[in-house]
Amino acid sequence: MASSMRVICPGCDQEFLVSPQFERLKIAAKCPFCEKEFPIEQAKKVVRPSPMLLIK
Amino acid sequence: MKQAKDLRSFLADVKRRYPEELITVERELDLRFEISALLVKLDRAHKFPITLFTKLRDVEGKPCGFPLLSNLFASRRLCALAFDSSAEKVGLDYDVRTRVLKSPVVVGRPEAPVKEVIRKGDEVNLLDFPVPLPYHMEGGRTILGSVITTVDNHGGNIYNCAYQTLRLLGRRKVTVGLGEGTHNWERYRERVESTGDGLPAIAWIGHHPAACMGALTRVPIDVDEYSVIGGALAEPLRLTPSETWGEKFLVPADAEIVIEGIIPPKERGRHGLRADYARYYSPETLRPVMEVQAITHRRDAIYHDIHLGGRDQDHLGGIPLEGSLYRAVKQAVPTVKNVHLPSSGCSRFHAYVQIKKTAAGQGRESIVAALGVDRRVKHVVVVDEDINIFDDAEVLWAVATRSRWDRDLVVIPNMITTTRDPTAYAGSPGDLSYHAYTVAKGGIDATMPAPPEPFEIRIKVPDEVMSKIQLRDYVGNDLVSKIPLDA
Repeated sequence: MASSMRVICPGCDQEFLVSPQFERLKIAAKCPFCEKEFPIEQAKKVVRPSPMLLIK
Repeated sequence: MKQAKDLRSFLADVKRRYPEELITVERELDLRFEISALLVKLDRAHKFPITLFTKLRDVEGKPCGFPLLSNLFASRRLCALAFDSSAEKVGLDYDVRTRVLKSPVVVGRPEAPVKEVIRKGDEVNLLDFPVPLPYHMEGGRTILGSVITTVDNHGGNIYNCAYQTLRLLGRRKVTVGLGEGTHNWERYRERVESTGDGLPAIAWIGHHPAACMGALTRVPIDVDEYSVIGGALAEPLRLTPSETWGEKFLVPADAEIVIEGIIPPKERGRHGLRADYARYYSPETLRPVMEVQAITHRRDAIYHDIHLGGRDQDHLGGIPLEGSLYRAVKQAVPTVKNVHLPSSGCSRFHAYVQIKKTAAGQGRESIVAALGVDRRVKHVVVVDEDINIFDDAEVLWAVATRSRWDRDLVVIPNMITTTRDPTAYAGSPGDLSYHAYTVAKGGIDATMPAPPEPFEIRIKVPDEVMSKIQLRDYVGNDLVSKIPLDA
């Protein structure tokens, strides 16, 4: 959806989507490839949706 | 006695009428991606047969005890067969049928095929079913062909049904894709708030396609949807008591599989990252869990799966919506002829509306009427009655030759949309509530001016010559079938 975050798993380096709801509620992200659970701040990379999307 | 309509009676009908549109894949396939690969290749070849996979391995690599059926809704012609209709009118006939309620009938367990095998408590194992992993980023296996049903026992039994997914968490535990604002969600909220107890729910899998599509009818929450499904089937739905709640919760007797469970208050589980109808992934969300109490199924049950992101899923959601659209537009423009939600818009986002134009302004009236029907409808193209709305190229030709974007375009900013639209504007970062997403919607009036205003005349071969000249007589059917389809 429009506001999904892209994160890179610290376990397997794969990129996947995380709902910002998880970040707000401090719920660990779970990698669909290696099933590693990790706090979002531990992701190798986090790309949050740009506010620009709102005025695309 | 006449056989009740069910999945098997429909498949027999298809085999008799359109045998080439029902195929069986007997060669072994892995549930992990391989079923999707085959179905995606069929889609790309513009072939949409109902497909039965008979040799599969379960998640532990052992031969699976159930065959898997997919693409039940992928052919519009076969959807029409389910409603004794035509490919052009099936959405409209669906609407006519589901406006007539038919009360269900109750049969005893011995007459209910779904009771041939009964598993309770620790005998339950959802992992026995061939639940595929369809696409590369899916974080787990999801039951997609499940009609989640809940009941309100106050003042008569009112059942609510909807296609909602079940993500497997274990042998007896799933998360349920209850979306906030849906009727089943409201049942859950009411139950938890009023009693503090969990909500009994069932998931039924595999039935006649008219019953499956009937479960998607948009009716008020106090309308019994088992009766709506009876209308869709054009015969009463046969029900039988559940194993867990007896006659207080009746289940479809002719389904292939019924899963009975309780959705406890408050508990939430990971409803993992998954593919959706828009052909994108949706991120993981938190959803209520269901603790499974019992599973009943036919001895040789067929596991019905939906081909995500293909015509199968398009038609399942789109055809039931076409009737609602037609009715809404007809109130504004009585000369509307037909509507179509094409696969090019995932059968949700684009709507083609065909009208017999008699007065100026009817194109724009049609656009505004259609946009209000469902939050997923985003773009409306209105065309004249000579345009085939089941052919994207013809609709685009009408846009090319009959519209002027300075005068014929309607744009309405900030309308409510679905979270599945990747271009939606979020209300605030991270806000996932039901009405938090908006987007601009609109339409293009691609109709000719209303008479008596003159317009160019479309080229055509005389009708009598088109009827006289048949390809088979001049080129031969064999050669015609061998000429490859162009891009």
